[in-house]
Amino acid sequence: MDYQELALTALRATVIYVFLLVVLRLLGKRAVGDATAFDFMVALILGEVVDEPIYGDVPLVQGMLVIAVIAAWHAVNSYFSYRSQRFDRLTGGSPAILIRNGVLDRKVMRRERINDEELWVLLRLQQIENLEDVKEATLEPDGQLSVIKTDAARELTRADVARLRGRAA
Amino acid sequence: MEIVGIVVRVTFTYVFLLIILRLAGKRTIREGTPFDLVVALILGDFPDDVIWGEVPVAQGIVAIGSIMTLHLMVSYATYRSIWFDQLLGSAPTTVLRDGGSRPDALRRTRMNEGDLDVALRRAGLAEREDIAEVNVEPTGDTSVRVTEARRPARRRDVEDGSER
Repeated sequence: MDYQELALTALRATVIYVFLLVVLRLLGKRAVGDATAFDFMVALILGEVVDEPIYGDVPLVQGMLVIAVIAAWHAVNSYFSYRSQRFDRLTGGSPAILIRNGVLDRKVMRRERINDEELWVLLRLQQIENLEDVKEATLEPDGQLSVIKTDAARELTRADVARLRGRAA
Repeated sequence: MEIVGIVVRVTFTYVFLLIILRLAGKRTIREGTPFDLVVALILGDFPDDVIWGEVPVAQGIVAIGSIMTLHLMVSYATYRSIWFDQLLGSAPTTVLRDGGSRPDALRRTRMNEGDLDVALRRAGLAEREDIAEVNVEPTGDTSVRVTEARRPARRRDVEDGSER
């Protein structure tokens, strides 16, 4: 291992780093990351392809080409998901409503392969202890549960207080 | 003996990465932008070749050290210069204001109305008129700010005339 090879490694690392910085900037902040499982996969792939060109096992240009092609396809994908809800649902999955007005939707739960136990884990994480408090619980495409509480169960707002005080006065 | 070599190299890379990340500081890698994520993955991808002995240890150190140094330089530059920070996309984009979505901002962030609904539900909200502002942050997350009236009541909203 001579010093020239080490210097080349540092140089190749620099080129790839700057190239990735530019590519991810062009893709935009929502394109790569952990929003959906696939966005996360793309981040993993991008992180995984660069070690060979930096170590010199693969020509640098080839490494940059791979990064550019993956990024280009991901840009095309995110553009179509933005333009067409149908494409978005096809590739990203659609939100599924598991609870409506305190009632579990067994059919949707079966389709999403969520059992009572798992659902309660997600509900407890949001401090929900009674199903009656839930107006709507939706399993989002990224696997998280969003909960909209009923009017009676939601926290008191400033408008509520103003209204109550008005009535008292 | 290859086994001894593997144990030594695993131990060495582990300790080396530990030191490097400690030197980098808390928010350099885990700041949460998409690029930070990719840098973290890159750093995690170097050691295996060193561990399997496909790449000399010195080269692994140079590769990890170079990426970490560059990332530190960029994070220092974004800390010093707002202009550079915004060039790298670190400004929030307002996609909804006073209950109305902004098509221009939505297009720029490749966010459709369905994605916006997801962001609102995530905040436990269903009605758009309750929303003062929705921002797409540099991390790619959306932050939701509700209107004054929809905010949680404070003690001072109830306690008569007491201003505290």
